[in-house]
Amino acid sequence: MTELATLIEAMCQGTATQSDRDRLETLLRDPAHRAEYLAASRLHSELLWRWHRGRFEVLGPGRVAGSTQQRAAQAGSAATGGPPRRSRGSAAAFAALVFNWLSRQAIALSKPVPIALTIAGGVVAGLLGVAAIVSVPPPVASDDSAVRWPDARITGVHDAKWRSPKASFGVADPLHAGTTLDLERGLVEIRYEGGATVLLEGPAELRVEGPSVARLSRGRLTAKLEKTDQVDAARRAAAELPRLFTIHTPKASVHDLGTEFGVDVREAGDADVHVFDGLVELASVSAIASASDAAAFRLAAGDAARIDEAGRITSTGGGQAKKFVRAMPKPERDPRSLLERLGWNDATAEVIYRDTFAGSGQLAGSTPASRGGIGNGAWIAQPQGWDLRDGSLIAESAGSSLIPFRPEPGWLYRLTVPFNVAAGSKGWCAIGFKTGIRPTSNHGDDGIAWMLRAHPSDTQHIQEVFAGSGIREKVAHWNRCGAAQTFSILLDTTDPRWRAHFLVDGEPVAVCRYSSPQTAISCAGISILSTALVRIDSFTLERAAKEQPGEPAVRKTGHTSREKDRP
Amino acid sequence: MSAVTSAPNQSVPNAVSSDATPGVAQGDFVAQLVQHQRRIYAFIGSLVHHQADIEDLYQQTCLLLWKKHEQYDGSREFLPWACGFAKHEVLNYLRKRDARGRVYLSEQVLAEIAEEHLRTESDGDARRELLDGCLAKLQDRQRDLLRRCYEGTHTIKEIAADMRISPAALTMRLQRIKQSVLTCLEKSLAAGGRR
Repeated sequence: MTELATLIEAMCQGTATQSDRDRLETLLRDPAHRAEYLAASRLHSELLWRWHRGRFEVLGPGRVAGSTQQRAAQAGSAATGGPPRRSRGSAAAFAALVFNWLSRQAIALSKPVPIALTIAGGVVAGLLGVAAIVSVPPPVASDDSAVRWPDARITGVHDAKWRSPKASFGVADPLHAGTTLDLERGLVEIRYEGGATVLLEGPAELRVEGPSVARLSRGRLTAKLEKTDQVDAARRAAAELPRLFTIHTPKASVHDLGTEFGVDVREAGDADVHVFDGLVELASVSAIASASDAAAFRLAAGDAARIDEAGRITSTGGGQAKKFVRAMPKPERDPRSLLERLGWNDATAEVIYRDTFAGSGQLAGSTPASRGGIGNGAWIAQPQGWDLRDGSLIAESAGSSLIPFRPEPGWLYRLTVPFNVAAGSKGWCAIGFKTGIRPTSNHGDDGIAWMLRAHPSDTQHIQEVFAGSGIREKVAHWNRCGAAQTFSILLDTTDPRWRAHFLVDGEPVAVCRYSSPQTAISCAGISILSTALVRIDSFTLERAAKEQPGEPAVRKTGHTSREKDRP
Repeated sequence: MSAVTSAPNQSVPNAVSSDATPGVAQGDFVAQLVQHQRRIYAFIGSLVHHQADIEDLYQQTCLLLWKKHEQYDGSREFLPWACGFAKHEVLNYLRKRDARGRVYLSEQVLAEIAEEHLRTESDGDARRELLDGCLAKLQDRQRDLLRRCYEGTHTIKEIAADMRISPAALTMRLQRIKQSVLTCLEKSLAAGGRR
């Protein structure tokens, strides 16, 4: 490694010293070194752009504002601004930035609003509202056409039943132009690249035709364009801007000029349109227009119209408004807890291990039963750094403490461990199930359903869940750290596709779905890394037979399970 | 309830000339900015190196450029104009930043680097396209490691701990991987961009 490269790397990592910097500057006097430096810095910037900034592109690049609009105008096309430029730069993120700045400057509505900016703001407001950041791995493709950002994405599903199981969709599924959604019943929320959110109510058939275009052959939907406070739809319409979202129905097209409307198309092709907010333009496909009705209408908030089978448009009263569903129902706050939903019944749960860590001495080799707990399996731990003190287990040494355990199919297992992380302690602590018993290893390569709480040195507190080994199989990641927390993992082996539910202080935070039984699991336990100092008050592993709601518990008989002791 | 206005069948409006509406000029500006954003980012990356610094400066620069957009008259090249502001932001940033605990290049050197970067960055787009090919040539493990280090979800120390090697060893591996990518890029460029 050249000295120059090493120094540059140190600058990138922020670990360079003053004398490193001085040495670097001396080297940079040489033009050959400068060329090397520039090449390295360009690579560094490019990798950051792709992989660090690239994480925040949830929906893909936004449209290039302004130029797209002009292109559309010049092309004389009625399309809503043309296809987005397939650039991987964060047009969306940049527009978000500018939008943010404008909000902060509190630009008054009376000022003429930059047209391009409003489009940019419109494209991006969705990004601002995103709560969870989904990591989108950048496609490594040399041929740009192989990389296609979806025109829309499913963002919500409620009670949905699809006409054909083969053509069913779920949350986060990408939708490209040409995809048809045939929904038998239920609600599906679709976010279009162009900024519109569509709530489709089955029975319905919708075809995605582009980032801002859809075709509703039958069924009901509401469409809402992301609102920007800076935008006045009427002014946009007056300025003859390209329509921002279009729904084609069999007999007419509905152009959203912002912001929210509903369309209901019946089997015969006739339809109702109701405008909730903003401005909408209806254009009939029919050449026949009666004298009293224009071929195209503008509808404002509160207006409604009917398009008949011949394509004639008549205005109607707003009485139809209520039939449209305008928002996804709140995710079912099932009043039952996760445990109840899964069929866990505390009354019939059997304890496999319960260790309250009474007594003193080292953990290694001891059994929970030996100190008044439940379970005759012996802890496998390092001789030092995992000690019992004052009624708790104090973990100070990197590695794991594990107790033998083999889950069997057909049960619900629950592992519960309350943690207390000492103030100022760094590093992480975790619980879960492992395939190999190695007290000196932490979660490393043999964790299945592994849940971890971290306090790394220079980023925020994070908690993570891993389906399998190492960082590669991270399932979820969230911020909810605290000094004292209880982690639990519910392992459901009742279906061959095992599931693990992860809870923090009783609240579900993640789920892992495995494709097959994870029978390689041989132990359950706790691990910590390096500088953590953790106090653990109890360790409980239970199992229960799954109960259907309303049915009494059915005990499985003849089931041998290891290390089980009845109280 | 009013407002069911009828409008003639809409044909798309004619292209608006740049004198007519201020919006179009602004739209143009935004388009330019978006088109050059990666190069502005790379420019900043030639002057400061830590990811947090580059990010902060990039955001500040974008905001500043937007504030100054009326000053851009379209007659000159966008990138040097934009990078002038970027450089200004970088210098300001460095003057205020002793508390951060990172070292930075001195103003004199920064000025020279900035100038040389702009002078020689025109092959940037070609390099970016070739980069895909060079990344593809890496072993999966290497590319994986590179991405993990750059994604920013974990620090070098954490990744090293997970791999059970020292941060210094990880840095060495990272450097080697980057060097092989750089060598590949040079070769590809020299070969006229054929992969």
